Amino acid sequence: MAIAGAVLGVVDIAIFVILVVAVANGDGSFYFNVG
Amino acid sequence: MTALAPRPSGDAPATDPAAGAPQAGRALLERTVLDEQVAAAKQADPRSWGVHSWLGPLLSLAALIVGSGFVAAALPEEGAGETFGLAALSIGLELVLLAVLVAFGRPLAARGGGWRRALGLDRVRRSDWLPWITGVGFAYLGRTVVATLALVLSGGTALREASNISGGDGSVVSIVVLVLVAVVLAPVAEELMFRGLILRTFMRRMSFWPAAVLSTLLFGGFHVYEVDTVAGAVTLAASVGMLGLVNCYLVRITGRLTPGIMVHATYNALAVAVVLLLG
Repeated sequence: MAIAGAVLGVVDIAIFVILVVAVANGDGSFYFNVG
Repeated sequence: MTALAPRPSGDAPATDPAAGAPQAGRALLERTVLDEQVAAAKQADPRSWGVHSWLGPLLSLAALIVGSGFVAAALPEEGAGETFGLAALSIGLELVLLAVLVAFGRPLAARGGGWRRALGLDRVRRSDWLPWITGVGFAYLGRTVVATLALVLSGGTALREASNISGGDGSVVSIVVLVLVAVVLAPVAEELMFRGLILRTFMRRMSFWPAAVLSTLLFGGFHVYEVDTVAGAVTLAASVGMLGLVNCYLVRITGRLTPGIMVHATYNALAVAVVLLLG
């Protein structure tokens, strides 16, 4: 159950990140940085 | 029990204060394991960790950055020489930094009962999945706030200028090196440095939040050399600063570096994946 939850969480976050970043850039382009 | 109050994990010894067991009954986000670890460590050994425990790694990293710039300028400007030269330089920089951190951390670990007890460095545990996912969510939430503000204030210019990642020449070597450095080596080295050595050293002199903010400012500041403009530098520092602050808090609630290393690696891995797949 924990593994399933973790996998779902990662998938959710990945989708969220891609969508939010695309919107945040305004023009659909991707900007990213690494820490 | 809330969603952020996991069952006490079976893989953490119940009698080990370094594992945060005394706070197992508290919700995850309300724990202050790091504060108690630092207080206990000061009680057991009141001697100062000394200025070299935080300034030494910082000066060493600065010297490595400057030195790598000179080496990069001397590399061939095209072809396999450039590709393999940059690969060796990128990996070498991280390995030397790790060696430096081990050198500065070893005496502190010896005094404090080992790397895990003194600096929070240990293996991955099954129970890390919850702080990991929670941390990734908060780090990206913070990053999104910064990106939105930068978009509003600069019309997108600062966002473009804050990008510090590229796929290089697109060769397999460049991609492998990018993944190795950004997803494996840098998260371990930077978490050990900024949330291990520096945060804990500062917390021997001040409370958590001032120490977290100071170490995060240093963490953000040491990324600005990667971009060329002031607007890009401010945006980049604020963006990775969100990651740094979240990871400081993860160390506080877990007393360990591992969840933060996992968040840092995930944060970078998502960026690398997007750049390679969509860039």
